[in-house]
Amino acid sequence: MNAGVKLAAGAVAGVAIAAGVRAARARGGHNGHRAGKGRAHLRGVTVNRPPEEVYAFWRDLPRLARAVQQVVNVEEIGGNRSRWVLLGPAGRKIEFTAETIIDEPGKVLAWRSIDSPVSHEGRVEFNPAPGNRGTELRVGLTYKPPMRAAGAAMAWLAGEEPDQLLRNALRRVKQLLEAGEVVLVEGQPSGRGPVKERITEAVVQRVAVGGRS
Amino acid sequence: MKALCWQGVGKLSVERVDDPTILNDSDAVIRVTASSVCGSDLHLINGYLPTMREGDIIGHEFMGEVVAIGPGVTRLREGQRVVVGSVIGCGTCWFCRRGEWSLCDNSNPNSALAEQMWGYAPAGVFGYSHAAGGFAGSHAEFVRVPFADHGCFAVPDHLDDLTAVYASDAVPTGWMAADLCEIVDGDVVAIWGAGGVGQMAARAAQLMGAERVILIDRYVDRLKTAEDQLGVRTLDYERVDVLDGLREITSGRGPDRCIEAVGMEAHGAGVAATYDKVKHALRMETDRPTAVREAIQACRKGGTVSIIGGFGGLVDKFPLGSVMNKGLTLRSGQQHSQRYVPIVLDRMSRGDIDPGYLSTHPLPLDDAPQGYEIFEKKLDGCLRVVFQP
Repeated sequence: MNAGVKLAAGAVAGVAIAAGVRAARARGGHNGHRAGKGRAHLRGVTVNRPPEEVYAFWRDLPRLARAVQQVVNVEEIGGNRSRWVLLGPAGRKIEFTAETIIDEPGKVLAWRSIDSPVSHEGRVEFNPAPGNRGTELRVGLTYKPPMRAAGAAMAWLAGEEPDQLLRNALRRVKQLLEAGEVVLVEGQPSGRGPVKERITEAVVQRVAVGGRS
Repeated sequence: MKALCWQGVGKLSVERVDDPTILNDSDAVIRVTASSVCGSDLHLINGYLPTMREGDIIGHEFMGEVVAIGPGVTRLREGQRVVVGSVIGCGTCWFCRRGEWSLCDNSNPNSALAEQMWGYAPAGVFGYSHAAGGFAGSHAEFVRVPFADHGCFAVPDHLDDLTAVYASDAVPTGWMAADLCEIVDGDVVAIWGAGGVGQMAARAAQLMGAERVILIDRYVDRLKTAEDQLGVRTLDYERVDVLDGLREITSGRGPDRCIEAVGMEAHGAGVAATYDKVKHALRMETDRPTAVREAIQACRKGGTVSIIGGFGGLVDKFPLGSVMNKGLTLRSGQQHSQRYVPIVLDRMSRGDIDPGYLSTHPLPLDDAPQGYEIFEKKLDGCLRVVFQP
């Protein structure tokens, strides 16, 4: 490439990087913040139900699993432990055991993962919301990404940001607790054929990334 | 079934599509007997609201007969004749419980989209783009209604379809527009927009105790209809200076309450209007706030401006100085269907509100694309086109 083209290419790359940085900042740091060697995400949602009810929902694992769309199976295996099976990208299964390490009924729950491809810890608080608004459900998730950027789990984490997973799950918890169901729009009629319909669903999903609740 | 689908900017077609089914336990399926056009549909059709996809079924103001109910529905039975509110609400979130149904937390499955646009996501609406939930609209033979116990209301037998259909959107939106103003006896109310909603807002303002109601538009036949049907005063903004006219009607005070029922495709005259039109066409300004500006300028000191015309994005040259220095109150929102539909149905039932005259053009669904053309261009004295599939 001659000097002029190199300069132009460099300028374009520079603009692209600047745009990317601006876009990332605009997305509000959704990569979580540093927590020691890992990353931490903290998200809250306000649920118009009393803290004891929200706590009971969270402790009822099959009900909780409905809120996390990627969960294929969950079961209590005794000794404060539960076994989780999630569906990652390309249909790969991700399994881990979660051990409850703090349990204050109606107030706090905390867990850590055992033999997970990505080790993580979580803490959930069930705080009364001000002004009689029910419960402020606050979830903190800390995880340590594996050193090598490889493997199904990392790809899954890379493809479906943990922050977005957390936001979606909390939104669904709120809807399940308040309205009793998550309103569906897939399966409605439209003037699109099945292929276009699937594309539309994917496009809407993609564009929807980046909300703040 | 047949349904009217958006096929791109300015393009509509009637297609054969699948019938809707029960997807959630609280759903009902309605066989549509009447579905009205609305001015806000035009923003959608003309590409001013993002997140439409080709093949989307439009329409949000409708009534019909219950033909199927989900296992969670307890207040409806098959065969019941109901009118359905255009806005969807779950009934259990903090907002629904307070009566602010159009702010529902749980009825917009695409809430992340709306959050990007507006900060937080309001309720889902029928047939009003994916940002409003992507719910299939009502210009069809059948519609699936989520949270049907809350959204469907029994229609009194003596109200015919071409009258009752407006209890879905035009009448409750007009009622809310006036309700937001907190009208007290003796108030003078000025309303921008003599379409279906503006005229219903005028009627509501009268019922709430307004001393004088003035309707502002440029369509002479609409102004004349409003004078005849409602006994309101009118101002044709192409013939008179509105601010002057309102100043004189109120002997120098200005109207106490100003309602904006025009929305983002406002037409105007003068330099500001040209500025808006150019920027709008270039998509440099998403909305044209012509009527809003005028309402703010015209309002008396310390008065209320109630904005229920449809807006989606950002506007230029907003008279914030007028708002601040005159101490105005601005109120706004999409209509809280579930709160207002029962109120207006009661008034309609007693004959206090009679919107039947709005149905100037009942048409079969097959003629829907032409129907929208008649509506958009206001041909042939058209106020509302109503499809009867």
